[in-house]
Amino acid sequence: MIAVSRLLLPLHAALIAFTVIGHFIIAAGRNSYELSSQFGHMGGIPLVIYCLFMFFTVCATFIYMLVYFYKSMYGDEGYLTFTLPADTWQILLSKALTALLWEVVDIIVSGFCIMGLFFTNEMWVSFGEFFSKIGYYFYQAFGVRLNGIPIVLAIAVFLLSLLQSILVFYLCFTIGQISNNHRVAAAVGVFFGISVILQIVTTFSIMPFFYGINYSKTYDTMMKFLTYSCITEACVCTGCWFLSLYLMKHKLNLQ
Amino acid sequence: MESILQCRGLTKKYGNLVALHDVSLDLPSGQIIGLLGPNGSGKTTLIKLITSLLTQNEGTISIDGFEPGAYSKKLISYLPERTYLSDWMRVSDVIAYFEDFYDDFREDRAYDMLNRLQIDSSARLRTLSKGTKEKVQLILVMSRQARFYILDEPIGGVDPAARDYIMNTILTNYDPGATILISTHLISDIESILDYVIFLQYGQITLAAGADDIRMKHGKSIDTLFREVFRC
Repeated sequence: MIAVSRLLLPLHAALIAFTVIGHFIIAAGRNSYELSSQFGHMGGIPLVIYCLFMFFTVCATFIYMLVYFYKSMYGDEGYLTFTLPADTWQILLSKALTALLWEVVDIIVSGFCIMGLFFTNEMWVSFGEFFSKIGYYFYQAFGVRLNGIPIVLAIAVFLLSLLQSILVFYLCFTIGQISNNHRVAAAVGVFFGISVILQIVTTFSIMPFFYGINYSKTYDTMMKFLTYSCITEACVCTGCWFLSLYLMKHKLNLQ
Repeated sequence: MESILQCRGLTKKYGNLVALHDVSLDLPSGQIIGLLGPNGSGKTTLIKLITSLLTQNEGTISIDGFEPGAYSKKLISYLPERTYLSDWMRVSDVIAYFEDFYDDFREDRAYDMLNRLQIDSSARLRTLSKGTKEKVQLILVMSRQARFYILDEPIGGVDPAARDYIMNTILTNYDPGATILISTHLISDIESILDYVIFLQYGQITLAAGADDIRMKHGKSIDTLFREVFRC
């Protein structure tokens, strides 16, 4: 955890700092015509740079988690990781939880930064109204009343999809390390293979939900879709988990 | 004599290359054992199989009567032939890390050895030389009160003066009931401390016997015998 945090904490702290600076610049521009016109002349370059930095932060977080996994499991550090007096599942769980936690932190921080950049006191009031009426708007748009269960299911789908993307990569690296040569290339090849299979299976399996959809039963359809997504993602996660564990126990090939 | 390690019919292949072929072995407890052989003879492969870093194609391994797993990892204190510590860590961080994971780790012993070697515990590993990093790893490994020490080339990367210190460190820090398996091709540096010797060639064991028995039987030192057996 410390190994990961030493890079990702400063990165996210920098994103928050840029957001705070950007917020005050935008607020100052709003209150001053002169400042506003100067920013206008800059053609929104700072905003583009800020967006690129945010994009970089999101990508870097995910990529760093994968690099960290590979290094600590199948690089030289694996000699220590795999000789620690811990079961293989404990090692895998610690890596997966660390990655999941940082992914969630990354998404929450990025979301708050986007909102924080343009936030004003007036919007604060509007947002308050918006959130208080979000259930009403959702009902107007989709004919579905928001209550606890769909929200919990949606959060579960979100977390499971994050975990799935992490565990699929872990499985790819674990399969790749079996190879005696070009282990990373093998992992990338396996990733493309698994991605294609998952895409095909997902596309065909969700078709029934949208074929001949009955808008009077949107709520039922949404609930079924969320439940189905939860189950399929949980199945993929479980499959990746047990296959990775099996390979780590029976096919480990540290070189 | 009770054995700490039993291998039966171990075979390991890398593609078409056979690194170990049908190796069967019993390592006696409480002895210092030399695993000797030229480069590429399969020493490191055998050690990695024992420490579960590799999986054998055939055969079985039993450590203190158990299959390799979390229990065997508790018994084994392993020094690999490469640096496995994260560069950004300080020496004191690594000691705390080992203290967390290993019940048998003795922090006082680690700091005592660091002081004697004049290694700054607040230094980051990336600032240390390769030889000093190897010394830190050896200190970590020997600061455990393990039942089975496996040292892969512990003196391979250090200068001759440091070798004496390392050998002394090994001898003075292990518990008499423990077993030490040392892999090396620098026989003369360790011959005097060996109780038992295993010669490995082309992935097969060509000799496994007590060090004194070998000297008496062949009438020569193990180093001399090694040079004769493995002459190019």
